[in-house]
Parts: sequence; C-alpha cells; structure tokens
Amino acid sequence: MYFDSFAALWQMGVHGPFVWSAFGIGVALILLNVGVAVSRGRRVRRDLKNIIRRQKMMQERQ
Amino acid sequence: MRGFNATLQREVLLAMRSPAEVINPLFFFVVVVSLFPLAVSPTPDLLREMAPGVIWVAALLAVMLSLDGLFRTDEETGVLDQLLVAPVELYFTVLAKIVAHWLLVGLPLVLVAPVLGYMLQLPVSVLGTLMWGLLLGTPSLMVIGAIGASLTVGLRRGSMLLALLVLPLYIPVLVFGAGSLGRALEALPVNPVLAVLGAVLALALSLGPFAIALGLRISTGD
Amino acid sequence: MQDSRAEHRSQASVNMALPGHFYLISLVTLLAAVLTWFIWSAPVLPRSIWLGGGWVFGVVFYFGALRYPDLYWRTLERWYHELGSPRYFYRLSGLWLPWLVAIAVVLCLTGLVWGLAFAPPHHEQGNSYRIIYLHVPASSAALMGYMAMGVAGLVALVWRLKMAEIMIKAIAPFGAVMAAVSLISGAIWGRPTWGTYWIWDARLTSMLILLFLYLGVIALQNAIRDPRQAGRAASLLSVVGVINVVIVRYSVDWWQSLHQGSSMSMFGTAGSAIHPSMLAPLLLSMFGIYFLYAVTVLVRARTEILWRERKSQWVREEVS
Repeated sequence: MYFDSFAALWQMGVHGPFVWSAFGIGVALILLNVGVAVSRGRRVRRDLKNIIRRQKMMQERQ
Repeated sequence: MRGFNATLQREVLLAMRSPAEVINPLFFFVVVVSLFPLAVSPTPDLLREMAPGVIWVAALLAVMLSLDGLFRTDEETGVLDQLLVAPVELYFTVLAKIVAHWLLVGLPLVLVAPVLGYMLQLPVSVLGTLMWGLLLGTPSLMVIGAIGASLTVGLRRGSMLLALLVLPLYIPVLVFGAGSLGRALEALPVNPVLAVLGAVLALALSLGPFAIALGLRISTGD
Repeated sequence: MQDSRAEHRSQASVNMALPGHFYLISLVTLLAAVLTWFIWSAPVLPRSIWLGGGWVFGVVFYFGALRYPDLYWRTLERWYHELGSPRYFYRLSGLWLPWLVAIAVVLCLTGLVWGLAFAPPHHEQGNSYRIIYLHVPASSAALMGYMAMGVAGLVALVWRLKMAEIMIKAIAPFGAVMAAVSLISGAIWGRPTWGTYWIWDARLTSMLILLFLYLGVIALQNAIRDPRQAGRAASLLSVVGVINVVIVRYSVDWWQSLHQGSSMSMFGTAGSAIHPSMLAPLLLSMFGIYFLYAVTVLVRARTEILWRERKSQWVREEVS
C-alpha cells in the first residue's frame, strides 16, 4: 500500500474529502442503478407470474 | 420534383391564408431580444458583448417554437397520411416543406436581425456577418428541428419534448453561429467559421430529409 | 435462396424509391468516418484501446472472412438469427450473466483498491488525481454507450430487428448515469485543481451535452406508448445523435480555444504520457466498468424481453 496507515489513506494529504466524496457519490449512483434494474426485473417477473396464475384460474373456473 | 413544387406552392398558399403562423415567430424573436437590455442593463459595452449570444439564442428558440406546428396540422387533417402514400419521393416533399417554412419563417428572421443587432449596439461593420451567419445557420436549425418534430408529431404535449430532443442537437450551430459574430467583433477573419456553418448546412440538407421522412413513417406507425 | 432473399428485400422496401442498402452503405460510411475522426483526435489512452480493437477486428476478419468465408458468414448468420431472436437472447444472456457479474466485480474492486490505495500520487495534483479511476472509466463508458446505441439504432432501422430496439432501451439509462457520474466526479476533481467546482471546460461541457442527449432518448422512449414505435423513434434519434456528438465535440473544442479557458488534463500537463503504475489500475477499472455496463444492459434487456413477449408460450413456461 502506498499510504502508511488507514488514517492516512482516509485523509490522502488534503485531498481526502474530494476523493472519497467523488467515489462515494459515484459508486452509490452506479449501485443504485444496478439495484433499480434488478428490482424492476424481479417485479416484472412477479407480475407476469400473477397474471398467468390468474388466467389459469379463470380457465379452470370456466 | 413534381412533389417538390406542389408542396412548396401549397405551403406558401396556406401560410398566406393564416399569416399569424409566419408573424408570430418573428414577433417572438423581437420580443425576446428586447427583454435582455431590460433584464441585464442598457450599458452599451455590456450589450455589445452579449449581443451575439442573445440574438442567436433568440433566433434558435424562435425557429424551434415555429417547428412544433410543421407536421401537426398535416397530421390532424390527414394530409400527412396522403403524403406518405403519394407516389412521389417523400424526400422531396419533406425538403419542400422545409424550404417553404424557411422562406416564410427563417428569412424574415435573417432580415430583421440587423435591426436588432444595431439596437444591441453592434457596430454596422459586423451586421453583414450576422446576416450571413443566420442565412447559413437557420436552415440547419430548421432541418434538425424538423427531425425532432417528425418524431413527436403524434404525441400529446409534444412541444416540451421537442425542445428536450432538439436543443442539444442545436449546440454546434449555436457555437459556430455566435462564434462567427464574436470573431467579427474582434476583427478576426470569419470566413472559416461561416464555411463550417455551410458544411453543417450541407450535411443537414442532404441527410436530414431522409431522417425526417423516416421519422414521419415511424410516427405514423408505418 | 438468393432470389427469394432479393425478392423479400424488394418487398420490404416497396415504398422507398432508393434501395435499402443505399441508406445502409451511406450510414455505415458516415459511422466509419466518425470513428476514424474519433480515433485520430482522441488522447493516447483511448486511441490505443480503439486501435487495439481495430487490430483484433482486422485479424479476426482476415482469418475468418478471407480464409474461411463460408464458415465465417454462416457463423455470423447464425449469431444474427440467434441474438436477433428474443427467446435465444434470453437463454444465452442467462448463461453469460453470472460470468459477467463475476468478472465485473473482480475487475472493478481490483482497479479501485489498487488505484485508491496502491498507485503512487501524481507529481502535480497529489492524491486528488485518484478521482480519475472513477472519472475516466465513467466518461469512456458514457461515450462508448452512446456509440453502441447509435450502432444498435442503425441495425434497428435497417433490419427492423426487435432485439436492437430492446438494446437501445437497455443501454440508455446506465449511459445517462455514467455521464452523470463523470460530471460529478469531474466537478469534485475540479475543486482542488481549478479552485472551483464548475468550469466550462471542453471535456465537462461535452459530457454535459452527452447527458442531455441521453436524457432526450429516454424522454422520447417514455413519451411513446407503443413499444415498437418507441424503439424505432429512439433508434432514429440515437443515430442522429451519434453524428451530432462528433460535431458537438469539434465545436466545443473550437469554442474553448476561442475563449482561452483552462485546459488542465487529468493526466497532468498535455503530452506527458501516463506512468505504467498508474495506467494498470486505470485499465482494470475501465474494463470493470465496461463489464458492469454489459451486466446492467443484459438485466434490463431481459426484463424488457419478458414484458414484450409476455403473451408467448416460452415466457409462460419460463416464469412459472
């Protein structure tokens, strides 16, 4: 590791706040985007499952 | 070319019957430009420095707002469907519509611009550059805007969407147009910049009608 | 075989006066010119990556298409049909997805940890330069994403391929996020470097415009209700946008030179090559972001496929 300690890594001289805030916001946005994509996929799957089950029930009733 | 002449005549005739469509963009252009001295300051030096940007942005917005109705009335009256199935190449029909629209809306803007430029304290020597720039720039703005108009033609609340789609595409024309005037103010050569505006115009006029024709086919679900 | 295909093509373009391949050839030529221009004017790093990609493509094309034309074209045709069919695409992407996730996670984590903790500091900018390990991959992914969207748009317009329309819808959101990340990280980098969060620097301005273009594509897609029509409209807009991006870049560079703005590069003073100890983690995080991009595109495309094909038998079997 280039830095002597984790405290030094956190401070990065004077640039710590900039580097870590940039990475924090960036990584959060990326993870949020991935999360939204995955959760939307799950929701669509669940909705489709419900629709299909309902259709089957309707068919059986008839 | 038969389609070209017929469409051109039809468009001009329609515009003559409802002159508000032609006058409103011009009126908008004049009003927006005259808002700036009131909003910022009437100091001649400041006005002169702002003038290129103000005039170009106002012209750009006027062109964009006028394009909202370019295909909409045709779509509502069913003329658009007729044009799509007509046995003439859609490329020329679209080109004719744009040429007509430019003659009716764009050309008056170009002609009025020097007066507004003078009012914004531009020296008389750069007014020629202003006119040349607008002469080369407004047709490109028409073509690019018409691509957006063709894609939003059937949509409700399409005019806001049109602005979102088209304004980023307008940036090069704006940069070179206002830049040419800025260079003229500093007494630098402007012909290279005008040549770039001309190149953009050539690209827009040659490829743009294809995109517009395709956009119209997409929007009508063809 | 040949005749029936030609007949099919002429039927497809019955209401176009010019044959379909005319549009295709002119647009491909234009895209090639765009790419050449980009490679010509790009900084050293992306240029070398693109040129390397060009060599790989050239070698594959030579040994594939020229040595074994029959096998090559047949393979391409099979891929075209398989990947063009939503059902096959769904199955294949399901097989790829776990691998892509693993590669993306490993590359991103190594690149970021290496860049943040192990790479040496920059001799002019100190530790603040470490933001490039996020900024450069994000910018590059945003730009490449738009290019990919343009290619997908071209394919969607020329061959009316349903998968290409789905791809555009899947590529746009993450591209917009990448452009936003690039802007935010660039602004934060600017504070210690330029003394302010925002300067109308050529790079930041181009990225802002790219973000606007992405948002335009997304807005257009959301405004049109019919999915096929929305897909085709977005394809046209993204093809127009790709041509525009190049002119925007040129115009913004020119505009910058006109106003003599600050032009500090993230790689330090212009012309100095980046040191290998800094380059290696950058490349890792760059490819990591590309793989992550691929993952989100596949996830979104799979969702879209399921929704669009919800009435078909295979989706019913797949879901329940």
